[in-house]
Amino acid sequence: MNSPVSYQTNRAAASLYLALGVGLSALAVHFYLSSYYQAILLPTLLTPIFFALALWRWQAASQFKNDPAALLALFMLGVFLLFQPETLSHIDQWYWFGLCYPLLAFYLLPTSASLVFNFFLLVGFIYLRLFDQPFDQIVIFVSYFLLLILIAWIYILRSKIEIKKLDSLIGIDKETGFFNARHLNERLNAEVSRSRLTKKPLSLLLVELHQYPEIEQELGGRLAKKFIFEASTICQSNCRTGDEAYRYDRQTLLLLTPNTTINGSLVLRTRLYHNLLQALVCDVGPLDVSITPLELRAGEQVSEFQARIASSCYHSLSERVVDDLTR
Amino acid sequence: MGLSESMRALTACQLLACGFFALLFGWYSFQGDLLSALFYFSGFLVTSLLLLSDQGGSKNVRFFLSRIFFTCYTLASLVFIYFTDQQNSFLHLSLFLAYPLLALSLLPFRVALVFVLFFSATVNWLLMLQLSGVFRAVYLTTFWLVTLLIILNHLAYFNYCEALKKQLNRDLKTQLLNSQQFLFDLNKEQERARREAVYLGIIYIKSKESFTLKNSNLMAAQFMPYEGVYYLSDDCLAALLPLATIKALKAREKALTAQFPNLTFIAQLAKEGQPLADYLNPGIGGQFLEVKQ
Repeated sequence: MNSPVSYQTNRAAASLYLALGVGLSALAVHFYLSSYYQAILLPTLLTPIFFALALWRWQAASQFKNDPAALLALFMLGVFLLFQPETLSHIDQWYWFGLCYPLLAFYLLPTSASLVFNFFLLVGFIYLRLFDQPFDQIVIFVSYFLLLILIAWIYILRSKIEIKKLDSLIGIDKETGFFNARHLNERLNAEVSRSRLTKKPLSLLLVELHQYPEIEQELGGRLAKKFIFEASTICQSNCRTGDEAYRYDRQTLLLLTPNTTINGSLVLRTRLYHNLLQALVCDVGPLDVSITPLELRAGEQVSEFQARIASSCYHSLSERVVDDLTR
Repeated sequence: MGLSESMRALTACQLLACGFFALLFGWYSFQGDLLSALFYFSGFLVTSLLLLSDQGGSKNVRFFLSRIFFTCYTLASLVFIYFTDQQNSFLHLSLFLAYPLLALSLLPFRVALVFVLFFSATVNWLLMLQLSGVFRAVYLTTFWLVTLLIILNHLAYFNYCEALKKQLNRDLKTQLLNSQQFLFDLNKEQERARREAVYLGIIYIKSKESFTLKNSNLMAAQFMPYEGVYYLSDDCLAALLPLATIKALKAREKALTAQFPNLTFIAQLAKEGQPLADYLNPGIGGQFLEVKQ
């Protein structure tokens, strides 16, 4: 399950693009004042692009795994480091600028794409910048470059592993406060086992809010969260002692009702439906909700019951029909 | 990339980083540059500890070693900067930029922050004296910018992890349901027991040592799927037994004690009107049955 929480440092990245833009513009002014016109082209071309990237990232975070702004920035920096005419007094100073690149790459683009950029740059350095250096100097430079990549990669991997571990243990949905689908699977196992032992019925209600994706798309995430939160509050108030509420998927809530027959579920369904119609305000038109009651059948296994729940959702019907046809 | 692939990639990266530090240590020893060699040897120690800390081992030993090794690395870096002219050693200068990454990988956030601030301030002071011209301004600006960005990134990551932890209903170490979930389920099961006119039993499991993932999973396997097992503290687990009777609870307790003689089992029935928080301590809430020492 993807957690609704996310951490983004897009404004810090925007500040970094701005700093790079300012640095490049300062370099361009320096070349202009010192009449070194051969070196003015790349800083002058890249400065407005970095300013535009800073503005873009300040306004909006990336929706992609590989941020296009970071990809473009790293490509342009690579071009600058490889093709900018030597402007500094000593070749060694290029080493230092080149060795900053892995740290910058892993900050802006903490994915395997940054590894590709780093390796391309390293090859470019060896062929374009270091070809006239002694072999041992090239080996030492490559060692440093790889060491910096590894240190950055260790940091990124450690952070990612920690987040993955936490993600795999989360049992509560942040938007509704209900348990999530992972916890539901564990509880279904427990309740089916208990129902078998006590010979008492087990049923559930699937509450599908069909307008949730539309609200999210047209009115934004904030209103969609408010909508699902209000729906979950109404569902919670309809729960009796021993009933449990879950968020089954993005637009579906599930009420697990132990010791309840299908007839009891139908009564609960009617009551919940009326309460939702009366109390839930939908900003995209009259409320469109479907509530499906299901009961555990005699001899039914947990996996079969789970499959029946999944195939009872109306909103995923089109996907299932397409799946069946393509088989 | 899944969790196991990430773990394997991390081990490989740490192994390679160790190798590169060892290689540079060997190279500078061969050149007779002992200060540089000392610096890279301390880097080798830090990356070795990173590698070993993922393979398990005692928490206390890791706690002390990480601080000692990182202090050595910091001191070796500072001594190296103080006694060596850095004006033309651009390769070493680039490695100082990665200091916050190593600190945040090895140490907890607050401790790492103290190390990074101390190191950055001292390096700034030392390099102000050693470097000169435009290069001094450019290097120090880049140094502070990189340090600031890495700390900002880690702060965002730290807050993100804290937000995720609030959504957890399981203990990180044992992966059993946590005490918050225990109180929630206890309340629900008590109400359900009242509605169905049955008893609710609780078995506390106490150990002299901390429960690990392995032995807590073994303990959870002793109970039925509808009998939840919860982590209350490092040395105490609890199992909620709906549909319990006094006789069955005593028999269960005896059987568990016979099976696990090194653990203490305390069985009790949940009692009406008892504050829920009392159930977090064995024997306080509810009707006490028997204690095995």
